[in-house]
Amino acid sequence: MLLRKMPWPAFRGGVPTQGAGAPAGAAKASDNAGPVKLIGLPLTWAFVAFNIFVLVWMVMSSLKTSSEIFEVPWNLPEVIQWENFVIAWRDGNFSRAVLNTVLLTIGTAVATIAVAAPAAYVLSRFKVVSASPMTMYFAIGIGIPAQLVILPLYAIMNQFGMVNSLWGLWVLYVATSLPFAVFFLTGFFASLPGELEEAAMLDGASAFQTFRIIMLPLARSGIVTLAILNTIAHWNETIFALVFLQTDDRMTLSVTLLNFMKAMQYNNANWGGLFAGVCILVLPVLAIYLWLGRQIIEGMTLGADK
Amino acid sequence: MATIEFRNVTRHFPGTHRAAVEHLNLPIEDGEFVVLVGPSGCGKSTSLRMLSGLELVDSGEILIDGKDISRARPSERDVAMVFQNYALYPHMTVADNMGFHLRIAKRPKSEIRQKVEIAAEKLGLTPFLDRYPRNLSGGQRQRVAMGRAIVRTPKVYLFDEPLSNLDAKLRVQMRGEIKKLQGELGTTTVYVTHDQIEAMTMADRIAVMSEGKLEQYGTPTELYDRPVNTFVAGFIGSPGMNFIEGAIDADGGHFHNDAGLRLALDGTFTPGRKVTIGIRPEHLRLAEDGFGANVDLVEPTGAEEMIVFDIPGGQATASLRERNNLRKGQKVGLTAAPGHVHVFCGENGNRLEGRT
Repeated sequence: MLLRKMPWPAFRGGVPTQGAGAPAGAAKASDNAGPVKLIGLPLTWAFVAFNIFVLVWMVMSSLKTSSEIFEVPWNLPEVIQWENFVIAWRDGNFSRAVLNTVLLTIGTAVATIAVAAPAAYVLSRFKVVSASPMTMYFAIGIGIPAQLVILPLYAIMNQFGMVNSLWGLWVLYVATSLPFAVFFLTGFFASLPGELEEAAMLDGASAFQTFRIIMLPLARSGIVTLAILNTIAHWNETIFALVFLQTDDRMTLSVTLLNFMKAMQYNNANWGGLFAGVCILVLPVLAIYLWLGRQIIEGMTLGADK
Repeated sequence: MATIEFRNVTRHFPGTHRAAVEHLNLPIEDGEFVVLVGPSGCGKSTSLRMLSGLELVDSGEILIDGKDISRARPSERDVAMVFQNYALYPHMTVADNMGFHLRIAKRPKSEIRQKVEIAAEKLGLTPFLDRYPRNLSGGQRQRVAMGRAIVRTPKVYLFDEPLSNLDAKLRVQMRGEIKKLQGELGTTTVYVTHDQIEAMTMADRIAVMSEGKLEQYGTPTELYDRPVNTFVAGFIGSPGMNFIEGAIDADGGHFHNDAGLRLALDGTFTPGRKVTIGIRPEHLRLAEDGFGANVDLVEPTGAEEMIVFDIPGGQATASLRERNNLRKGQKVGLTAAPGHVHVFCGENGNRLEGRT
């Protein structure tokens, strides 16, 4: 929807390629690739069906009693157990975790974009010798797995007294988000027409004004996509949170759920409450996907396309 | 309003063998409409961009009102440019696009609105002020781009092939409008195009460029009637001038080629000198006592007929206003209208003047 509002002709030209043109192209490609269609399509649908099944079963189980979950796992709940969500929220300390996670994810997305957008703009539009190696440097960063650097990072963060600190985790999240964010937005800014910058220059705009007033609004689609992807990634992030956070009052949702699972396994095994906890973690992300899924796909393909 | 002068201006892009623009000298008078024309890669756009400040000047000076601005930032030059693709800010309305310079210059909102409305009125854009560029036709976008330039009341207008994205009919309409508007505003204008018809119809003076060099600078009629070399002669005029290679007769007053074609010249030239003569299609006439020619192709355009003839030593196109009902293969006599045979040096292509 957002893309439909993009005013620049190049973008308007780009959208049908994603919207109207791409399916036609895809259909043509699949006509030619018979075996791919024969095997790939059923496999894709099987994967989609499995995911939907798991999701529905998870929501259904979150509204059942523990005995119902084991005795009649495929049936609808006899009486809807809303209290499972109350138990999860209260016993699992989810309220504090949700607040921490919301602050962290929003803070990370905002800071990542605030740093990555100007960096990507300069790397993609300014003719400096170091731009290409620096873009490559950021691209390499995407390929480094978090597990590999977690110990050195812990040592560094410990030196700065930023272990068991939401600020510390925020810094880590922003730092580890930057390679992909800069790489993604570099492609986006590179696709914008250079004449607009020249027109702005002749109109008397400074480089920063050109970025803020002209180029940034035009990269809105890419920035929104990046913000969504970043939010989803950090909403679910577990490894860093597990390693760097230590006290309950600073836990994020994913670690809280993990702790809640452990507690539930030994504490009367309230499986309904456990599924409710999983739902609390998963459903907001799912809602974002359902709401803005089209935007995410269009934003990603548009950036990649140009 | 302003005078402009290119003084020995050179621009050499890194990694290229020849200069994009080489030793360009071009004086432009106050209020003049000058068109830079030439084929792709001739340096016309680079010259315009150097004037705007979007391109560096390697050596030489560019003066506006006598002041060297060749190192000044684009925003300090007080020039407004209309780009080939219009370069309208797509997320801004027509009014915001037109008023952007004034907004950046922190002019009061009331002043911006007033100036935008005056320019919009002039260009017939008043009903579209709240629209976005994507909701406008090509011609309307073109007008907005011009409006953005007009609102600023700059010293100089620059146009970089502004009509090339429009269809043929709209192009003719818009070139008339631009010319009329420039006449009303009286602002010095530099206009770049590869279309010689655009150049001929719009310019007070035309600068013909080729391979980074200025070939000729003059009024449209000067260029048409007295081209300084075969390049200008061939570039200006549509269909192009007919060229025939040969030599001057022993009497100095006639041209001949090896295939037996012989033509009288205006004035006398060095006998035996190798030359190329040029005759514009409209200056070829049917004449019983002319040189022999065979009709190869007849192209009626309604107002006239374009006839391609096989002549001794090559082919020539004639534009004949009268209807002669010529058929392919028909033999006729052809001659050139007196005073309209251009003579160029056979070696360097430069124009030669005969002694009278």
